[in-house]
Amino acid sequence: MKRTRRWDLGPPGVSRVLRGSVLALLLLSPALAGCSNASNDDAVVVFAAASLTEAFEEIGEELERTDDVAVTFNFGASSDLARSIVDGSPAQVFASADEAMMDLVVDEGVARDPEVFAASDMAIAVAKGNPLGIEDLGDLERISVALCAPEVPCGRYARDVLEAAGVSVDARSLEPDVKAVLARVALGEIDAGIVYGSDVASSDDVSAVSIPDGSNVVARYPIALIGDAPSETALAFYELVVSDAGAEILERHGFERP
Amino acid sequence: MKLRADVRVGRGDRTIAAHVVADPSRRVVIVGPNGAGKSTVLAALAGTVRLDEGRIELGDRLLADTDTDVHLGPHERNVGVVFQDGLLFPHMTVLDNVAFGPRSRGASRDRAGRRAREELERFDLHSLAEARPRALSGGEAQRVALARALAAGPDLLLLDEPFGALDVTSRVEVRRAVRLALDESSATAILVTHDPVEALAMGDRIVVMEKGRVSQSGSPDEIRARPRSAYVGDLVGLNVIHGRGQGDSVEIPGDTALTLAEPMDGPVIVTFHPHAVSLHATRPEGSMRNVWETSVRHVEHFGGRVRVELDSPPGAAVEVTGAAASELGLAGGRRVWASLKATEIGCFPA
Amino acid sequence: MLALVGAAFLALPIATILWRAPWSRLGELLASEELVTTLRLSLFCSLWATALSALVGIPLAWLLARGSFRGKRFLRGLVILPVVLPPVIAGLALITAFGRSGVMGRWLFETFDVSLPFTTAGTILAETFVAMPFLVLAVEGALRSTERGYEDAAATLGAGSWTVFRRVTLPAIAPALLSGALLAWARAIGEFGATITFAGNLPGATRTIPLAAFFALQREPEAAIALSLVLVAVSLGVLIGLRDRWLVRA
Repeated sequence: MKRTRRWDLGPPGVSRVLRGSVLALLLLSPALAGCSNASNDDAVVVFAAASLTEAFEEIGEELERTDDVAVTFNFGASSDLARSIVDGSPAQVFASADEAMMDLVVDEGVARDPEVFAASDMAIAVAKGNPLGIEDLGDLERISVALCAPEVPCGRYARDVLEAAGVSVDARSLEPDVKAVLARVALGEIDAGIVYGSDVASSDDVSAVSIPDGSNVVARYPIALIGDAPSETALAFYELVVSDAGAEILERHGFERP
Repeated sequence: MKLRADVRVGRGDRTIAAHVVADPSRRVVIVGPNGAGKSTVLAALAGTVRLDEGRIELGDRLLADTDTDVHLGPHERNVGVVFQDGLLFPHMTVLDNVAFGPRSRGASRDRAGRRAREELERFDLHSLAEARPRALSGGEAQRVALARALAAGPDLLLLDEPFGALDVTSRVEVRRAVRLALDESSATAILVTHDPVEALAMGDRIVVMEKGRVSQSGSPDEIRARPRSAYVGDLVGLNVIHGRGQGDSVEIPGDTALTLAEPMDGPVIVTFHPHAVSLHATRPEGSMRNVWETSVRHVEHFGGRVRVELDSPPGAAVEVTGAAASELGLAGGRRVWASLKATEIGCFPA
Repeated sequence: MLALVGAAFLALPIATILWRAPWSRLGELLASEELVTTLRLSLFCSLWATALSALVGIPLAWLLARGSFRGKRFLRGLVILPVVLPPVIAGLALITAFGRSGVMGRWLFETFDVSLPFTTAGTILAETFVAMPFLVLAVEGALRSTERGYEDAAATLGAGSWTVFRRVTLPAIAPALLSGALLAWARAIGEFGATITFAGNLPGATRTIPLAAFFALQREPEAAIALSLVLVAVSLGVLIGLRDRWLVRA
């Protein structure tokens, strides 16, 4: 009888319902789930900035196909992810949307040697087809705008962009991450939002208005392995991201090489 | 004020139908067994239940009419109700309960309070003015409920088994209060009860309801003299038997015939008092024409008297002394001879 | 044994949040202008949400308790739904209804030039949506258990339906109404998912205590805990207020 998994509790006589509920309990408990992941060498947990969602999912699929491993993602605001990693979340790889959040994790001694693997400028997301005819940042003063909250990287970048352009915008809402801003625009609740250029490039629901170089900023994405003894799968994922193959996928999703 | 009501209300799979007329300032008692539909009729008069068909007129006011789609709500009818369980508002004092009617009809706080105090004084309840309903005895609560209904100055007062939930002492106390109230008030009153003694004692007019229908109505004297159903017979203490007259003979159920003092033809109702029947161990001698043999169904003792139910006529009640009962050895199944004088039999067309 | 584990599981997080609270800096943290604005906004929105819940919730409860009509069970299910619906889904549903391109929202905007998302009114709407069921269910239960006869009695004494409600029904359901309102208020002031989804997050307009705590956690965890303490205090207060109904159960 094979007993490789912790939750494989016993002989077939144990009812499937019981085993199912035990499994559910394990999954509900982050600490336990973390243990089982760490011990399992063919799976990796990646925490990544929300703006990386589509690109990383493709990279994950690529790795799963070639190496027969399982890649689990947690996408969110980099600030949120950094905090939870410092608090002990079971991340094995962290990719941040800005260097400040990566520094936070490095300073805590949880990660080492981050490498910048991608970059993106900022852009204005508007409703599909740009029905309001938004042309530049100045137009944002007369329409409803959503930004990322200043606590998260895309919020800081947006503030820098607006400052550089000398435009003052009364945001209607400060969203927890960049995907939330995109959703507002896509749903038509908000006229425009300032997001990563890569986000607009990978979205079918919104259109992009570019921001001139003079007032634009470039977001730099670092990636690092978490912990002192990274698993082989974590290493494989990391290496795929920083490889040429990874860079090509990222480019297809609107990112630039650093 | 004169009440003229034709009430028809569906209740589940049966219909309650009653025609009730009450002359101004008179008391009508609706009497009947439990479940006869008496309370439904009251609710229809009060307006808390809608008519399915019919018309209610009080004085010159039309309270409800299904033909013209008129239905005044309970608060527009000026019909007061005293409920069986009082239903005093638990969160108000006795005084506020009694003042509720005048207040609702727009009287100022002071005026309503004065009106309530008068009413409490009349029923000797003024010492309880500040009490809460839960502190009252059953009798007190029912008197307060009466005072509350009257303080609103109703044109018609409905009393739904007002003594029903009371013990014997409180019953007497509340009955006295109701008499006092009705004697002094100009309101027309309708009282519902299942107690025949109460009905005959308090009503100017009796309406008997059975199985959702009025089975008989009339003055207490008329009811006493001519009960038309076994239930009314019970009320007035007579055996009531439906039969068919042919000359001076009446065929009654149980393959028996009774001989009358005066001839009568067609469907008739015969009545006789339980005392009027004599029981014998053997066929009695003499000229009596109504003599028959039957079995005893069962025997009940009431103090010195014994009530005997016969097989023929089915369910007829006979009353004998205790001495006679033991002499005859009366018990269920015993064969006896019964005799009844023709002159003791009442008979009127059905 | 498992009971002890359960009790510890429930008690531990509350205990630790109290333990980790920056007590010495608490006054300073809570007195900061930003937090004062947040607290005031939260109070304002949650009280409005409670008032609105009562305004439309009491008649709704009355309909559920007293009405007899087709689809009553369906209506009751609808009323309970926000209790079990994930708040984010509730917020999304509100967007589809009252959002700028929502069914009602478009009409409101075109007819009255009123737009609810991203406004304080939107926050109140979201809070009302999730809080009202608590009030409705409490009041409905009370209405069911009160004796209808009292209302009939009041009507026969000449009281119109409003007077009956005000002087007879309302006093009878007052304790249930109060506890229902307290529950609704606690639910409203703690509401996060529906609020952030429908009304967004803007300091001074739609950023209530839970939203502020969520964002503060990324920047200044101590402030987040200070804010959390406010909500813990609210919850304890509500529990104490309802102790007769919940804690005393023989």
